[in-house]
Amino acid sequence: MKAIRYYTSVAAISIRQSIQSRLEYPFMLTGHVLANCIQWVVGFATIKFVVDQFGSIGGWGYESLAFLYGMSVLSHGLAVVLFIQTWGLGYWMIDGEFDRFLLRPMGLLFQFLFDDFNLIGFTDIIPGLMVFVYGCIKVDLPLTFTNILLIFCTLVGGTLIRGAVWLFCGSMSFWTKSAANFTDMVGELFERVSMYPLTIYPKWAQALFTFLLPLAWITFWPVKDMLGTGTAVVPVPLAVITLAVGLLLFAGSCAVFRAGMGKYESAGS
Amino acid sequence: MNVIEVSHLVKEYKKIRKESGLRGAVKNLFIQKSEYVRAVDDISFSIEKGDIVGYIGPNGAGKSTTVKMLSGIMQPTSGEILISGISPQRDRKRVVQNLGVVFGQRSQLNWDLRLGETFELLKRIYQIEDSVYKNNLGVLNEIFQIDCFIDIPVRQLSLGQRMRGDLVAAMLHSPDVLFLDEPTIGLDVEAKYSVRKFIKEINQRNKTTIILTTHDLGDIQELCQRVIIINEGKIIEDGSLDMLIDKIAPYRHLILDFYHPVTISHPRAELISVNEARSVYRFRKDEITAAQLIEDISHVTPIKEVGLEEVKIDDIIRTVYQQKDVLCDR
Repeated sequence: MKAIRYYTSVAAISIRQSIQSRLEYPFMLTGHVLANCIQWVVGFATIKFVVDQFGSIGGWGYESLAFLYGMSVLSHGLAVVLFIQTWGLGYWMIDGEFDRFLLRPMGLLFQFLFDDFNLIGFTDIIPGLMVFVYGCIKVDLPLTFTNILLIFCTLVGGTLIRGAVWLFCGSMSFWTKSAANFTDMVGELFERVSMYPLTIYPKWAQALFTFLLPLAWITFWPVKDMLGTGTAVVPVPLAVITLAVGLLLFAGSCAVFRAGMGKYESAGS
Repeated sequence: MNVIEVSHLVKEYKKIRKESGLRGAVKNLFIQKSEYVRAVDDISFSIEKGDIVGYIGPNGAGKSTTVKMLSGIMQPTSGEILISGISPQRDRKRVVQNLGVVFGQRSQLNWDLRLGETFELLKRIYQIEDSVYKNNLGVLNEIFQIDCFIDIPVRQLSLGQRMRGDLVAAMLHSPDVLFLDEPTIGLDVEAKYSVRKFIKEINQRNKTTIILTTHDLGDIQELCQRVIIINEGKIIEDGSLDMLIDKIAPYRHLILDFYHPVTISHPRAELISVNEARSVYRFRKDEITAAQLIEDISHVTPIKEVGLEEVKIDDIIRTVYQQKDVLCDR
């Protein structure tokens, strides 16, 4: 309990200071708001265009697609707010930036993630929220307690899955001793798998993204379940499985990060 | 009581030799020539509470590597370190709670924000009580006058101000042990003086144990009761500066100006140069005093002017470094 209060108080001041730092550069912030809004809205307009031409994508209508897309951008935004540091983990390692964390009496992953809380990530959340609310209205999702809970589980689980994959890829730098990692490529993959219905892919790819590389859990399965278009295979809502997958993957990535820190060698001189 | 105990500390790392050219680059993919190098090779020492110890050596001697292992940033290949009885490798958080570290070449201050923000973050991280925090900041300000730039963003501070900020940041939680890795690097005379004054003061006020690595021998002369000299990963000298001087360069130079050109020898001093009316004698401190020498010579001929020259500390340290020197690694 005392530890939680301690970590919360440090997290609070770190977040406050990160926001202060970002506000030092207001033009960059405005630029990001504009660029991200345009990016996601245009992305969605493309989907609308395809649906208008062909009637549906992978058997999904325009309304369900809006809901799926909105959910995906939302969890992307949350993941970017919380985990963007993982993209540059290799550079942090090469520059010896972890030295600073090792000299302070706190958990390393906590310090790493909260060192520069990413206010700019919120610029992804704004358009995400717009499309998501629009989708909710279009699919007539009743605002029941259960639905809110399912949405919450999906967002938390989805964010954790994204964060876990980034953290895993970033941590590879500890072994490769190189700044380059696969977080960029994985970002592309996230978009392809979580913004469009999985049904557009062949069966083997669907199986791959469900069981082996469980990215379909970020949005596809829980959303499909919520919209009630599938037949129940398991006795629990799929959003709960998303949350479980998220927690499990994240715990795994934390272990990989910790093992990687064991290989950390600081920087010369 | 020994605050720092280091026994048989070793750090080995793999050094890779690459072959040149495209052909070499492809070959390197499959076969790599690597060898193990000992950056720190079986080092042992202990430091008592309240000591300021200078840890010096040429570039690449293993100074920073040692400091990094002492502060828990690096894992030793073998050997043991105890800081106040706790191993930084086994219980990092407890050791660093009571440890301040400053690396002169890098800063822990938040670049974009006013200096005071970093202090407030550290206050939370080290869980410093309000009253203690205020008191510490007051004392540190007294020594260092940080008040005049505490509200300026760190990116606009001068190097000297930044270094002062870093030193205060490392001392806020009143640690018993302080590691300073080249704290005066790149500073001007005034800033250097103020950093040295700071180190002296906190050492006297709080009995803080300090390890100082530096290339500036002025730092050593001003601050350190004891120096440990390391080269190629091994300790080659360990003792007080005076002892070192006596050991390496037990002689001094006496410069005498006479009224007219003359050559006078003395049985217990070596006449090393005669230039017109000026003669330079080299003598060992333990064989004869300067006063005795002057007296003896003045019996022969009157002396106009007297000068006494100690061997320069830089020369002594250079002599020590050169004793074991492999050119390839430098």
